[in-house]
Amino acid sequence: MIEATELTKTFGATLAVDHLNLTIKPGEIFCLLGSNGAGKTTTINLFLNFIAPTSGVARIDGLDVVEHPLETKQRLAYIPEQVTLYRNLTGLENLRFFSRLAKAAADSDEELLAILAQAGLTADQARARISSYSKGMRQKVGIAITIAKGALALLLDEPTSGLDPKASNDFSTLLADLSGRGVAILMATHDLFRAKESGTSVGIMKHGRLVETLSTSELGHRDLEQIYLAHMKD
Amino acid sequence: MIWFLVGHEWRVLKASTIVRLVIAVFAIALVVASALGTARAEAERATIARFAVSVPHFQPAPGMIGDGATPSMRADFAANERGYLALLPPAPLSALAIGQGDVYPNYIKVTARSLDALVSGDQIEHPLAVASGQFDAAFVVLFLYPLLIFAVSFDLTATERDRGTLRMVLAQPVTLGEVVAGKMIVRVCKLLIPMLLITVGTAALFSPTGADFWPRAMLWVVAIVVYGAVWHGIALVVNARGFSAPANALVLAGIWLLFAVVGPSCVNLLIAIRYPMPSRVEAAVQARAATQDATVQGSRQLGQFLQDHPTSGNVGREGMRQFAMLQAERDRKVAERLQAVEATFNAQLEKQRRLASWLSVLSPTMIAQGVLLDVAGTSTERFDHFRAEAASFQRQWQSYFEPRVLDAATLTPAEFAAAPSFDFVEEPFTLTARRVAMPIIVMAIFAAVLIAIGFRSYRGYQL
Repeated sequence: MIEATELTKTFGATLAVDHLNLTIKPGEIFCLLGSNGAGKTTTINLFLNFIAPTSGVARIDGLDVVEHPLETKQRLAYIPEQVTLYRNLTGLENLRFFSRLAKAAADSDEELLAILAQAGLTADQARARISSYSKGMRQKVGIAITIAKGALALLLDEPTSGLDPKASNDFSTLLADLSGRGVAILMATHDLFRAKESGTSVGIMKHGRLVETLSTSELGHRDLEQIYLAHMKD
Repeated sequence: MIWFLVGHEWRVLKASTIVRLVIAVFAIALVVASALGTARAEAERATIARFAVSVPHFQPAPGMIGDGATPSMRADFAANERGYLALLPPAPLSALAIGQGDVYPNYIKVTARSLDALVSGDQIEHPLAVASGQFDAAFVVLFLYPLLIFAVSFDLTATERDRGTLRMVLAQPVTLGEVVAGKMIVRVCKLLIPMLLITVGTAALFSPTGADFWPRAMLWVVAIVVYGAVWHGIALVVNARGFSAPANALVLAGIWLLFAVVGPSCVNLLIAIRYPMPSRVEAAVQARAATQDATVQGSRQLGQFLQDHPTSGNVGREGMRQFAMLQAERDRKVAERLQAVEATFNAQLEKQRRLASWLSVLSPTMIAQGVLLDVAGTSTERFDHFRAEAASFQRQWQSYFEPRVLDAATLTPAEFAAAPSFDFVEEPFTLTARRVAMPIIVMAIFAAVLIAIGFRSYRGYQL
């Protein structure tokens, strides 16, 4: 479970995240929408404990990320816009490295190749160097890392940005699969279409505040766009 | 976790062309330097061996009198003209550091009159080699090693941070401190292991010298480890500032230039201005000027004596004694004057050394240079020790021969064999160890402080 309670972050006089309250349950995919600078990435950085909150608490699986940084990282996975892995190593070697870092059970070539296959990479692709990978393939390694470590929470920062429609759709399928495994997913995105398609709920952030939370099942694509644009006009 | 990170970093660096190139250059430089050092030490040993065979034996030579069956030698000839060559054996680790070996002589001619080594006994070397220093293992350690530490460490985390890989890694249950420590350990080992193997290995295999070899080799290892730690510490502090990789490279290159090149040059300049020393030619001229009147006066008296006794046949034993007395008087006056010049020269040299010792704390290279040369046995300390032993031997030589010279005696082979001989006694290892302990501790403190600052600064590293 991903949870924020009155989570606040300021950078000097700038309020980046303003008293954010948020709960994402296992299996839920929460898509965080907002313009650039709205506070989406800062929120993810707070959950990753890459920056310390000014006030409030961010929790993963009930644990405060500041007080239990290693335990919470054991339980979460992170896929940024650009999954930047070790270029000189293969996909398999990269997965092994991150799996071992996360003390994951899967370690043999067979187990890791099977996980990469679940993420959509063939054995040949898995044995190629990352320097030859497309962005979509690297995202799949990111998904494989999530599966391998058995993460309970997944944080994604604009993961579909720059992906072609087919790759983006494949990625949504993988997210749905992870959701089916009970992973709580927080995805920051600009992609309204993908948010409606993949998310179970969406939140709109503006100037660091979560101004609206909606269930995607109650919305059409057009409705979401109109609500989003209405908030952006204010 | 650390060792897992070390293993990973080792694999990543192994695939890096730049790192492979750096290590290859380093290994080649070390092999060449060690080979040159070994060859030089061997040549030195051969020279000493040649002298050792030729000097102390009572062989037929000019100056001998008597028939072949009962040869004898004039005491003044044996004591002064022939004299004795006090020999300094090669230093325990001379293959690793030539040090002052290209400036100070490893042999001193001892006569009953004087110790002939101060201004005229320097080694004959190409002036350019003396000015620029020799290419030996110590040179590689002192100058190339820090540069290569920076070459492999300027980008500990900058590129991974800029690309985003570091965020991926730190999203796992691992701390930035562990990641950085893993990277540092690999970089330390990549350079340190080949260096220690090549330098100590070459010296041990091809040029082992003396019982102190292994204790000194251990000190050499400790000094290099600590010296390297200082430079790794500097690299860590600069990396922790959060600059880009090119900016880190630029800053580190500047620091290397400052500490390894500009700093020592400025210190040398400062010392030369504060305590100027005469050049070797000037020193020789000064010595000659100071002794000239005594030489001329003495020679005039001797000349007068010879005029008064135009043929050696009617001089007699008493005449020869008189002649020897005149000679001894002249030599004593010359030695006194020379001693005064030497005292001034040595006092200035001592002031220079004291100032250099204080100023060396400004640069790790200068501190380490003093330590490595001392440990190798090619520092001024060992040559001073040799000179002191030779001076003590000269007094023995003088007291053995002077009465015989004044008596205008001739020596039989048995008397010649009974003359004192010189065997260099190496300074106890513990003395060297005590001398280098403080500089090593100072470097270790520098390194510890820098590494602590580096890791502390990394706590605020912006991802």
